[in-house]
Amino acid sequence: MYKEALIMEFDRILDDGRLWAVKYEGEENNCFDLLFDCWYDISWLKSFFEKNLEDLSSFFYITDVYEAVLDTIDEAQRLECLMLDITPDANLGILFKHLENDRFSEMFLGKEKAKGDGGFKHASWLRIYAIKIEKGVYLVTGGAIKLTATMKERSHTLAELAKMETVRNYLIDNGVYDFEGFNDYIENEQGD
Amino acid sequence: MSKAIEFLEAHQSPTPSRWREDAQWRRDNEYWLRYSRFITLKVLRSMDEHSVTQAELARRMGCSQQYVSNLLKGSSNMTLETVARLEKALNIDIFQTALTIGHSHAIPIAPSSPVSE
Repeated sequence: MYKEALIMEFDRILDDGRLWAVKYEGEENNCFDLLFDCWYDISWLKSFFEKNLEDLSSFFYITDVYEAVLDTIDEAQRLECLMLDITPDANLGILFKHLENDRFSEMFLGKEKAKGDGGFKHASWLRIYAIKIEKGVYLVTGGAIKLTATMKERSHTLAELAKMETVRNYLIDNGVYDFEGFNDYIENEQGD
Repeated sequence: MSKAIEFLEAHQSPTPSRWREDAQWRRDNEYWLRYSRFITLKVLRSMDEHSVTQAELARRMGCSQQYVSNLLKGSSNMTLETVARLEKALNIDIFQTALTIGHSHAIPIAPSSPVSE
């Protein structure tokens, strides 16, 4: 289970500063780098799907962990290519959506998710979680292989929810609260 | 610049992200990485079927467990020697059949000696 970090650092993922990732205290790399390390690591994936075989078979009707491993790598490749080819004028908002399916408005430091493309066989199960810092700027807090309908159903996805909340609170506690900027943003959004 | 961006910039980690570099490397090397994944899956299936641990595989191959652990991530550029030793250690067919098709003589498996890491 994720433990609340006291000190966080941040890595710039895209050179233009539109995508950042949290580097949690005690971790060697930022969470975005670590996500893709895991999603390409066959042994790690095999172990994950063995632990979550019941979810895999119940929700995706896949009983072979090796099939799930290969599907994950395929999906990671598609997601990674998409992110690698993001142009400076592309809107990251196309990639990131509100975490809450029933939220239709902007909120300050809102929680967001990016999904992969599951391909023709099944729905996507890769998720990247982020806090929306401002329009078009996102801070990645973690990610998951989500095999259940909701994040609260499993400890590993529940931990991602906790991380998002912790990072959001961390930013607020450190004075990252630009109310005027947020108001301007909302007005601009409504004006679009 | 917003307060938030200023904050992130002021608290950047001293070690920059290596994702873009890694992602570009994966893209550029996909043409052989898929072979590495194919071999790794074949090895893992065999290890599962015969309850062979990483430590046991390392012992049979005459290399360290760390080396085997890295191999089994599926992105290692294995030498032909390493592939042949995996075949021998697990008694599996990775390239043997392909190599013997169209030839009247099977290609002998290499004698055992520790794998260079």
